[in-house]
Amino acid sequence: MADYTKPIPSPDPVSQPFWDGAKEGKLMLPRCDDCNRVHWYPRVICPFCHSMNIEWVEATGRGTIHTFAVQHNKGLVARGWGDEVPYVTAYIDLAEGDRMLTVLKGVDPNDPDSIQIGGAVQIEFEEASDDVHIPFWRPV
Amino acid sequence: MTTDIDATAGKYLRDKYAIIGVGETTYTRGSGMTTRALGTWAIKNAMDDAGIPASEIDGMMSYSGNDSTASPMLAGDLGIRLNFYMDVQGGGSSSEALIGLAIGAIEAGMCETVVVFRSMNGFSQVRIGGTGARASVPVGGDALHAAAYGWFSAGQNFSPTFMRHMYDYGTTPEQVAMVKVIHSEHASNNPKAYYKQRVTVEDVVNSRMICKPLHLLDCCVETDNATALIVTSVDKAYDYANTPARILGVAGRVCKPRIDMHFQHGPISTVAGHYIKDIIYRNAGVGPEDIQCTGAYDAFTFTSMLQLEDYGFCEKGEGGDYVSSGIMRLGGERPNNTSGGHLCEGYTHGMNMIIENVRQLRGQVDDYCPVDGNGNKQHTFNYAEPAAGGGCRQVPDVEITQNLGWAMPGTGSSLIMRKG
Repeated sequence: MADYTKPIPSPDPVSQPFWDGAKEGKLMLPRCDDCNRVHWYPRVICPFCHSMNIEWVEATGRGTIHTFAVQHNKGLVARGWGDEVPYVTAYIDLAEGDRMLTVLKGVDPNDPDSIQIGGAVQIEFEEASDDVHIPFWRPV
Repeated sequence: MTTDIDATAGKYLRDKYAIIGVGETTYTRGSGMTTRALGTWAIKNAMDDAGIPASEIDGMMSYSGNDSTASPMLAGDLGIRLNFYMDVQGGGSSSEALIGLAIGAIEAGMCETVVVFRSMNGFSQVRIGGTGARASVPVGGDALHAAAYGWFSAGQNFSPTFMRHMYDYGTTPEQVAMVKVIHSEHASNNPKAYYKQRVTVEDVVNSRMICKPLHLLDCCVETDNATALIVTSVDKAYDYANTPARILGVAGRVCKPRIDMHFQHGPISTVAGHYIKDIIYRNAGVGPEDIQCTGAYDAFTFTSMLQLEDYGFCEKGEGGDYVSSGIMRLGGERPNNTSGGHLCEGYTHGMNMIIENVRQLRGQVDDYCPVDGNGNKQHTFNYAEPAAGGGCRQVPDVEITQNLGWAMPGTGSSLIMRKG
């Protein structure tokens, strides 16, 4: 909220259904009604088959860690994140398909060997502003 | 319609163009100059190197990320009347691509001789990452995949790929640290290098962590500098001062699928070189086994390794063995970045590694070896440090070199040259 000092994405017409879902704690993903594949980040045309029949579906919010990195340097990270170092960024393999960049919660950045590539994670949302709740992921 | 050539063949422009002059400023932190002044200085040095007058240059190209000065300013400062110029957006891997575009501009009849430059105050003005001028850039919708998670800099963006390579293939930090160790050895024999100190594997893996798996010494140096090179046709190339470096082939900004988010396409430990190799070796008519000296872009230690692996200098997954084997060392089978590269010499988004290979092909690398009465280097091929009686960094009898340009894991370029 007012004390959220990190960068906040600006929803646009294409991504608005995602942000509407996020406010309710739901992971909404765009899925092609023709080839049935989910893609991320939201597009108006399916990147796999070029269909414009994109529907929004509520996803499970489950995934696995594809890979990660540990951010240690205050000077390199975007404004607002400097006070958070060290923290762990990761790509999540979504259960429904495609990958999502995120920051992992509930992991120890000072013990990176304890973070398991392939390990199961669950989404959660942080209220950055009234309109934007940002997705993060946490090991289950 | 009849044709006397197969213009669709990859070899069509092979060996018809050359680099005739190269030049750079000093590599510093705190140049105290504008990018306009730096660029003018580098181009003047390239012209002096080639012995070419301003009246015989009529094309100019550059690349930048809102951190340089455009061609018309530099042309004006140097008394060059342009028939063609183009300044494009781009960072790493642009040098090789622009050399290809310069060939295209000449081939199209738009101009005859093109200078390509990169000028940047990469330390004192626009730095990579979240500091300085870039810190206040607003976050757009798609930037959910970047700034919202604190992502701003190259190391952050690349490190997940590096981590996955370690996971998939058992690559170790100690293996990859050898890239820095070897490049530091090369830099110690380069009077121009910003960092001339030789380092050890222990120095690298004990340096502070920037972004795991990147230690400080896995990361390149940030410097202020400009670099320039001059491209013309082989018909003209022998009119100037140096033996030309003839261009066998080029591949420019080749991408992985879904390049807007390259990591969506697996395996993410595979980089653009996987695709580039099918273009560059076809165009050049040679293969990795023919390359005697590489310039694998080293924004980070890992980037050299991943590229060498995907271009086919070793089997996929064996990059850690390749870079730690000694092959890349001066005196080894195929030295890499003999100037010290981005890790040690200076950061110019790739052009300094092309300049180095041009000098290698001439047999006139600017090391600590003595110069004879005709101004030619008398290389000793003793690669020890200058203080130990060495100071050489010339590769003996080098005929073919390759540059492996890197923008990010999903995009790269390449250039293969031969001795003229």
